[in-house]
Amino acid sequence: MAAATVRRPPAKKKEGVAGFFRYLWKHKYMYLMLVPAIAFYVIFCYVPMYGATMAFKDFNPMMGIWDSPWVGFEHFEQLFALDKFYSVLWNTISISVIRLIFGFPFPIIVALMLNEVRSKKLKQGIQTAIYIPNFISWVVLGGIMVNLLSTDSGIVNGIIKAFGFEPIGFLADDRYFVGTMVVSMIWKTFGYNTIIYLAALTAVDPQLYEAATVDGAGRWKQLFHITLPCIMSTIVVMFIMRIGSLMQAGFEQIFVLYNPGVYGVADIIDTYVYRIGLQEGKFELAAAVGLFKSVINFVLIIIANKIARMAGEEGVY
Amino acid sequence: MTKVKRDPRNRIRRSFGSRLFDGINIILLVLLAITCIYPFWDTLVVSFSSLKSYLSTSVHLWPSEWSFEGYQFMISNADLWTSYANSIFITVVGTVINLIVTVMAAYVLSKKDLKGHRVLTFLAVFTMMFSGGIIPTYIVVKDLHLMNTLWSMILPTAITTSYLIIMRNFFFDLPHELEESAMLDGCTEVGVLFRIILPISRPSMITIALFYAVDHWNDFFSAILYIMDNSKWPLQLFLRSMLFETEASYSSSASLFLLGQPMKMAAIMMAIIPIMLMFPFFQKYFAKGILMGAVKG
Amino acid sequence: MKGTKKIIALLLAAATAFSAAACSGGGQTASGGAASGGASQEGNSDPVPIKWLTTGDAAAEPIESGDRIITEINSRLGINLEVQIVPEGNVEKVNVAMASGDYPDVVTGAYGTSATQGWIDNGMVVELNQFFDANPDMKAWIENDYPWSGTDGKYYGVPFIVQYNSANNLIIMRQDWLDNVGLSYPKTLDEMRAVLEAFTNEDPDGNGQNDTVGYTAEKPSNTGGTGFDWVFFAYGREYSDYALDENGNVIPWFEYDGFVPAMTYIKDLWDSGLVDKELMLNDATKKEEKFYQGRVGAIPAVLYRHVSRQENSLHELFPDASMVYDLPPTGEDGSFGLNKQGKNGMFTCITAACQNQAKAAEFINFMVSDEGNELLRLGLEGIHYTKDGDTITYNEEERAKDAFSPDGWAHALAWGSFYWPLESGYMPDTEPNKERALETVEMATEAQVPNLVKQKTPLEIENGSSLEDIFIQYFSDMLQGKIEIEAGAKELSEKWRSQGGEEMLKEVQAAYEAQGAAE
Repeated sequence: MAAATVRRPPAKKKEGVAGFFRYLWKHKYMYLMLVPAIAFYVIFCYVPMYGATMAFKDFNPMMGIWDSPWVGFEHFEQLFALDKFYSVLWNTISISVIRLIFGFPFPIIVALMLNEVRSKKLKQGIQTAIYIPNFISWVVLGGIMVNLLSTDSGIVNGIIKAFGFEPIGFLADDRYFVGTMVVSMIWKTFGYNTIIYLAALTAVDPQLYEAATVDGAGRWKQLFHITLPCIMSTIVVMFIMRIGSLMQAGFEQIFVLYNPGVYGVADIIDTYVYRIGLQEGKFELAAAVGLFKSVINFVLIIIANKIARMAGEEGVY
Repeated sequence: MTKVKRDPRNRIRRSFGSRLFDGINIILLVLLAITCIYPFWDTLVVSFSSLKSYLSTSVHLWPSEWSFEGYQFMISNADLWTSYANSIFITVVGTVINLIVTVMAAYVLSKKDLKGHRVLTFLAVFTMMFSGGIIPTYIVVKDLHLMNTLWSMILPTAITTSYLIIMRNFFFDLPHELEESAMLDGCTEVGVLFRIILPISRPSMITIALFYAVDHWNDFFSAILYIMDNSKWPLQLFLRSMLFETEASYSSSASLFLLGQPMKMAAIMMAIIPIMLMFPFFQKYFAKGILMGAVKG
Repeated sequence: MKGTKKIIALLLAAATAFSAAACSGGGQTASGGAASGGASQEGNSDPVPIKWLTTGDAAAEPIESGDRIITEINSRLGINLEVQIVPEGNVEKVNVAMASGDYPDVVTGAYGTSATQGWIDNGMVVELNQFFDANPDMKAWIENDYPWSGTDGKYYGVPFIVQYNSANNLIIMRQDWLDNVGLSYPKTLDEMRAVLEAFTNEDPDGNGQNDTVGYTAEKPSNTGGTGFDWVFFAYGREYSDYALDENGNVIPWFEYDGFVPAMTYIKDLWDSGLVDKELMLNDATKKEEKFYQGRVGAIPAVLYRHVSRQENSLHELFPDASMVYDLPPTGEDGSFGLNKQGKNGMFTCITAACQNQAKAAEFINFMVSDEGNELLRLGLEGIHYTKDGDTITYNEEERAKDAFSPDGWAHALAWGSFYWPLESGYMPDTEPNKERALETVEMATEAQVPNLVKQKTPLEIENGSSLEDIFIQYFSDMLQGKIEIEAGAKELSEKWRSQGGEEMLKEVQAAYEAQGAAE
């Protein structure tokens, strides 16, 4: 019972003798279906993309972005000359990586656990419940977390104190802050990701399980030989996309919950540049920071995708 | 359609180990679910609490003193309903457009033997990383005369690339025997999409639709940028501006801001509950996946 | 399948119908009934359209079409005013619109930011001096209050600095707690420490539990200060922005003599547990909540129009509690302070794209004139109010039809750009607690410490926030004992100066000398 059963046979290559246009004409409906998407990407993504050049310009709105004078890497030099930049870069990467390591597998595990639940009502109930934190913004969750984790009146520290331990400054102590961030970030988003995997699981052909059961395969065997392989391509794609957003360490959450007491570990690129003047309309700085993050993300996603394809997966593109 | 349990696992007599596994599994999941419900519950309880009741404890399990003033205050404002209507329009129309555009593109891009699919996908993925920023986008919206229309909150977000990729992946994972047999029966590629693929892809389409809908519903920043008339504000912006505290807001009868946190939570509830009501609808279609065996080749 | 298609088709149809309705029903911009108003008055010339984009005050009453105040302004000035007040006062919208070439005629942005500086530097807004002769009120507003706001005598905008001449923060305490521990509102730093100690350790609420703490504040931030500014002022900090060394040179404020002793005092409060250990997690709401919940006995709090709000909130849980405020404690040489003089605010300009700049200037002039002020506060006599000698009677019913705030407060157009109750010294008689509100302003203003240099220099605009950020970081580290105070102060100076502070100081020095020469 190999996983290969659900993989489709290798795609047949079209004979490439026919001309390009004949090929297009033959598949005209397919390409036509792409037209709205292409229009969207051209108009709302690629046309505005010239704006990224602002990172290398002395932007003058009177001339427009295009005609503003070039200043080379001035804005980047300014950014890299800030002592703090390196510490916030490090924090961004470390928070992101820790979150990736613990946060990525979690929704997969939950999806698999839910998949094992037989009662449909229960399954739906849990599914709804775990999606709820998505609806509540970090501003609100932040307030609730401060209450729950407070060292003198919070319920969590109440329990810790009841067991005779010292209360823990989850949000105020820099030894715990990152952990608190990562756990709460995972907790808020796992429901959303779980739903993606559950949707992928619905595409698994039940006949496979039937056959496996007949073959006497137990639940663990079925899990590893049928379920996981079937959603592997979704897992891989989700993973690559996570890698491609590594420089996004969660601005809103950290902005709501951090404080000067934990800046040393909590301050990320986004929060730092926000504080030093993004909200004051420093458009060039915003463009430079954006471009810097984009390039890193881009390199990472290219590498991740390459590796995935070398491993025989389809990858993101 | 009668619901037949097809899950073959039910047919086997379960061993003790299997039952233990189920028990622990369910307990863990329920605990997890409870932690997820808590903040919602806390917010809900605070929204119905008086300020006194809110201040008296930091864990809110039940209002010790009820108050509906926050809700009354919101509902008494006639603009609330206009903003609800705007948000519903943006969400419904926006999601329908999202879904049509995304599904068509995702289907085409999922054809591994179609020339150019990789380049096109790459060009889409590229926009996840690189963007021109807020100013050129504003200029595009202005030049298309979308300023101050609800379309400015719909068209610039017609596709979210990560959802497009996820959707395409769902199409990858569908068993292709169905498609092939349909093609043999003389179906065109487009025909396959509508007759075969869409019906069996309901769970994934509904998932993507849900994500899009939630994004539209929660969007307020594009409204700040693009919308000028109060009569075109979406709900989120209306509620946020009701809670916006400045000097002028203190000039109204002082009681409003004496409500404090409960009032804010009431506003948040009024924004969350309508979109949460979509969940049962979502669940209904989510369950009707391929597992139902509705379409068997 | 067919069912689904039908549903989608229906939805689309409904959507189209709705959008059509929304579009035709919309268009309620705040342009007022200008055409009729203007034409009937003069008839000889068409009203000049003036579009004003402002952050204003988004919480003011919405301006409906046909608002009689706008109509009145239109007919008095011969303009057709279209106001757009940005939701949530989000200044980013103003910045983006300007940067995208979507110019209004008159624009109000944030003073002392890169964005407004860019408007001037890039010639997007016009010099106002040319309009001074025709518009004396605008001239007086700038030259009397903000003579420093121009460069080489050229003014590009009308500033409105927040908390420039007045303030509204004081340290509030629980009077009933003071009574319980037998102390009175502290006059000196020593007394302050004694009070905070008693609040922490002597069970001031008499509930038999050790569950109270002396003091809390908001978390330190670039914009909000340290939460302990009163200590620095009591230790002889003379100015809010910078300090002078013995040679009369400008130095960063934390290089003044009293910094280390002040830090030591603060750290002692912190280490002795007299300060809320979770101060670092407080936002304004959380800070106030802790006071209302009886967990903390003293906080710096906003008063003036908030006196009733603070008091009533405290009474929710403790109906018998009472609240007291006074001047902040003094240091050994009698110096004290709590509030910093403002350097930020609004900035109203005329754009280069404006077709009729003279009319736009006339409009700004009207907004800052007594005539405009009276119209926006009181409305039209006989309609919105009646006057009997000095007594003014508001007609709230009529006022509610136009965008007046209730209880005698001003029209929506007034709020924000040129006008706040505190800065404009305005409070209608209808306000409850008026006497005490005014008393708090008097005290808070007495506890306000002036700036050495009134304006923000270009480098200060560019680097000010990243430098302030360095200070906040060191302050927190010193407070929490991550770095020893004297070493920290030294390192802070070095870092601050090397990260752009040195150049900024030179610029500020020049501005300071120029200011001295002008006076």
